[in-house]
Amino acid sequence: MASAGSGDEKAAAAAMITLISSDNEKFEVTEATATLSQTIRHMIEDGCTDGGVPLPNVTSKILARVIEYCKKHATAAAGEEGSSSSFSDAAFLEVDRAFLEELEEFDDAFLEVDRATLFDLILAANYLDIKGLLNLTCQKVADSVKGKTPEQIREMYNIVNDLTPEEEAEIRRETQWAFE
Amino acid sequence: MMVLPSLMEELVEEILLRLPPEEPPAHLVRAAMVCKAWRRILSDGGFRRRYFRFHRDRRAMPTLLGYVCRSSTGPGPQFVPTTSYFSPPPLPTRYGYRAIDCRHGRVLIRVASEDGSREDLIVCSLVTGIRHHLSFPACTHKHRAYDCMCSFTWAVLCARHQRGGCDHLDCHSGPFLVVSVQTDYQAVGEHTLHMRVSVYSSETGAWSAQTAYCAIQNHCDVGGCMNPNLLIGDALYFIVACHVIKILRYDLCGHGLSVIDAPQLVFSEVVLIEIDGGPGIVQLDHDCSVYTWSLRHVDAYGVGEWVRHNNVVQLETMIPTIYDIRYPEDYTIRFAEGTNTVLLGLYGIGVFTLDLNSRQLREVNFNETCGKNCMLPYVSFYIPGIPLVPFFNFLSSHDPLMNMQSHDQTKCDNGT
Repeated sequence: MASAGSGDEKAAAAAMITLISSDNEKFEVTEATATLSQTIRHMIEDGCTDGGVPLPNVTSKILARVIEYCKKHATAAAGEEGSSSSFSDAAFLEVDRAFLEELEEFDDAFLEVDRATLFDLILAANYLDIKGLLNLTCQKVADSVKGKTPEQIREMYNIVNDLTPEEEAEIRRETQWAFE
Repeated sequence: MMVLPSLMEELVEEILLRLPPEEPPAHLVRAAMVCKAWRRILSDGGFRRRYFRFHRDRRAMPTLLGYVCRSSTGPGPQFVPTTSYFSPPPLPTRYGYRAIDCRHGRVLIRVASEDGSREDLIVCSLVTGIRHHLSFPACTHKHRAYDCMCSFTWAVLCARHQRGGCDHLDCHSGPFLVVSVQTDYQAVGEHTLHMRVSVYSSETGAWSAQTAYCAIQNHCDVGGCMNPNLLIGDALYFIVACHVIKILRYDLCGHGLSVIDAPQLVFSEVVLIEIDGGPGIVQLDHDCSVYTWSLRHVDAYGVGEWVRHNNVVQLETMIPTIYDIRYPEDYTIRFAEGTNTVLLGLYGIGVFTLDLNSRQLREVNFNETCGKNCMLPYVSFYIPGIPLVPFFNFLSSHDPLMNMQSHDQTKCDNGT
């Protein structure tokens, strides 16, 4: 992405892709933004993006959020590559660090969503194959599970306990240390 | 509203993968108690492997987790842990069971029938307890007269080891190889050791039809290949005792056998270790000092020059009672493959680990009850904070698929 000279970068920026959500809403995004999704990258490589890319598994509400994430991170990726060419320049490093901090803040704010949206984002990240987004959203859920008792986890996520009382007692007996 | 169970199982796995490693693994255990699906995910070998890799930046180091005590006189082999976090399921114990090699999470056990008329082998996974029975390879010597004898030496390893095909993080339930070195010699006459290597593959369930062969001139009446053996890269090394000490090298890829000269030391003092990716020797001298030897300037024929290093560890400064150790029968040294550690069993004193780099000595067992030649180090990958094995062991033991299974024994028609 944007690894070539600035002329090519402009050319890449000019190439726009249309994404179509399940509820038929159209989103115009740059190729650099769209190709954060491996699924879409492959479609572009295969030349089957003319007339828009239908994404029947993603609603417009979720797609808008996903595009928001991709835009931010596509800029970050371009910024990183730009600065690495003049790595020795302290000023650039400073900018780099500030940018990374900004990105972290963006991610934190991005994750401030209800659980249903978070799961939709996981499903979309998985379907569109966006590694960074999948990692971010799954880590968020893992963090919410961390330190909770099995009962609290079930309650949080509406999970039915289908373990038999015997099975449960057995695990509990053998791993008592985990519940103290 | 969407709930977590509506996520595909692979996505739940993505989430559980991101639970932080800790010691003890309380997050994982609590998650395993949420529902059947979560427990199923967590107890799967594939998950264990992925979890290990996912948190691998914390650097997996091969660690000595304990040793198998061969127990030639007791009820059978036993695992003796040297850490607090690994305790495997019990090994098969019965009179006449003798552990003869241990590698990649598996123990090789030699089984004598009650009347002593025949012998078989068992490969047992140290992690799951799964056992696999196999017969001895067909004995190639001709039984022509009483002056012809044969003996066997064995090695067990993961079948995917060659050419770096396995990282051994989670292969203990996978296919394995057993390498057999058969030594024939005649007590009278030609004094030649005939060494033959054949390989058993658990995938084919048979010993290789082809054997690798080499002959070693021997100028005394006895001799043979001895354990312990050493695996470095794609080669297995065995000590051969004849009128001098030799090292037998078996190339697992090319199935070739070659012989390397060894420094002329007392046989019982010589234990193979890995130094700089090649074979070396660790030696406990009569002055209670530990020396290492390495092979330098090795030519295309494997001929090189043995150099004794000055990195000596003087045990008497660390173990005052070591002067009670007078005879080679009183101690055992074993190298923990993949580490810089040797296991030191001093009869009547205790079991110690000695780091050959830092020269740190640690007592791991107060009682040395194993006896001579009876300790087989167990090395596995371990990431600090991820004591996966005991936890997953517990889960696995509830999984009917993981319960013991044994394969039909095939008839063994050679008595050795």
